[in-house]
Formats: sequence, C-alpha cells, structure tokens
Amino acid sequence: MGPIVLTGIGLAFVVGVVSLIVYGILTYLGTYPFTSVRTNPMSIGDSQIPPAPRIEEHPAIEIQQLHAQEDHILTTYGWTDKNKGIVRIPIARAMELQLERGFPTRKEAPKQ
Amino acid sequence: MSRARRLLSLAGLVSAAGVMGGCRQDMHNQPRYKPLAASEFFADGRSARPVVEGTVARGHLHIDQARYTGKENGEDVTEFPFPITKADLVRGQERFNIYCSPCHSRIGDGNGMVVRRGFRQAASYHSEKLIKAPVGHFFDVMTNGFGAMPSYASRVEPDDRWRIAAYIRVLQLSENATIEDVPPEQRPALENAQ
Repeated sequence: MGPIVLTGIGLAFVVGVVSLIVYGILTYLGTYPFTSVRTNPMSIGDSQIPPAPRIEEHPAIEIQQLHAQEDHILTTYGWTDKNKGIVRIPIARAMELQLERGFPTRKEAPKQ
Repeated sequence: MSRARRLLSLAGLVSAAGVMGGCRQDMHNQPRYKPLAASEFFADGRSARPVVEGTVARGHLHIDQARYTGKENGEDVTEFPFPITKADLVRGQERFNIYCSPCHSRIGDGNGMVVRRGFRQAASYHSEKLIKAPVGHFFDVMTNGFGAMPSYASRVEPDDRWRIAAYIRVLQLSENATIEDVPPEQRPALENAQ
C-alpha cells in the first residue's frame, strides 16, 4: 500500500473516533435538565429604561405629528366642553369674528 | 571756492532742508487718545467720555408709556395702542408661531414641543385667569419675561408684541366660542360630534 492510501485510512479512523467522543459528550450533556439562562454576572438584571423624555429617535416625524394634531385643532369645528356649550372654531373663523367684534383700542393716536 | 568746498556746502544745504522739514507741525502731528486710554485732563481719568444724561438714540424715544411698557400708572392697560387689522393679525400669527409656539404650542395650551421634551410647563392661554387678563399683561410678560420665560424684548419689536397679544386673543376665542359662532351649515355635524 502506498503512503497516500495509508494516510487516508488513518484520517478516516481519527474522524470516526472523534465523532464517537463528541456523540458521547452530547448524549451525556443531554441528560442535564434545562434550568434557566445564566445571565452575565456583570449585568444588573432587567434592562433599565431611563425616565421620559428619552432621546428623540425621529425628531422630524415627532414635530410633524405634533403639527398635524395642532393643524387639526386649528382648522376644524369641535367641542371644548359640550355640557357647557363651549365650542372650538377654526382659527381663520376666529380671526374674522374677532375683527368683526373689534379689539379694544384707545382713542388716542399712537405716539413715539 | 574750490570745487570740493562748493559740493560740501550744497550737501549741507540739502541735509539742512531735510531736517527743517521735520520741524513743520501743521497736521503732521495729530494728538489723540487710543481707545480707552487714561487721561489726566478729565476729572474722572477717562479719555472716553460718557454720553450726556438723557441722550436718546434715533428712533428710541419712547414717551408713549402704554405702547412701550403695556402699563399706565403701574396698571396693565386694557386697550391696544393702535387699531388691529387683518394684516396685524397675520403678522401676529407668524411671530407667535416663531417665538411662542415652541413652548406654548400653536394652539396655546402650553404643551409645545419644548415642554413635551421635559421643559417647565408653559402657561395655557385658555385658563380662566389669562382669558380675563388685560391685554397689557401679555405685552408686559413678552417684554420682561415671567417665571421661567425670558424677556423677548430683544427679539420681538414692541408693535409686534401687540400683534402677538391680539393673536392670543384670537386663539382664546377659537377655543371658547359659542354655537352662534358656528356657521349654520356646520352645526348638524357638530351636534353629533363628541
């Protein structure tokens, strides 16, 4: 037999032995009951969430959302307090009404 | 006179003329103080003179007390110093949205983005107290600040402060109107709404 064939047989034998050992270890460890995930001793338990307000992840989106809410209130009719009959009106309407009713203005002309 | 002596006297004349030129005072020597230098001439030892008491910069003569302080005899004024027009309201709205809305929010409830991000709660214009507050109060707060709010006198011109105050009145009306203020065609939808 040539040296190449001998080496091949040797390698196959070693692979077989290692496979047996690994199978044995895994079977042995498989009998251990599953307890709990061990945490790193350096960790301090549950991940801590800092108190609000937190870092803004998407500032542009947040301001857009706020502006959308405000625009809704500034452009629609609604109730401030339905029981008391207090109504919310759009800002453009409020401007017209307030201009019709007039602002209290003093008689005297503005001076320097 | 030898040639050498003549040359020598000529050279002497030329150099004398040069030296004499240095004796001219005219405007060559201009005595002056460097900025903030000390002076022995003035009693207070300063070369820079203070402005005369009562000096008014051009355009800064503010004798109209109500217009520039929002107060008269120590009381907040209840009337605007000039008539408010549509253009004034639009200008007031623009200035309000720039300078006031970050804290007071564009609807004036005091929950602007800065407040949502953890800053001190700003005042709501829809509170009983501020609905009844005289218009001079708003002018005074913008001019001098109030609580955590700083003065906006350096950022908002006096007349713009009145325009903002007028817009605040509009904001107050928009949240505190009656059913009569709603156009008839809008009323049915409102009756069913919450």
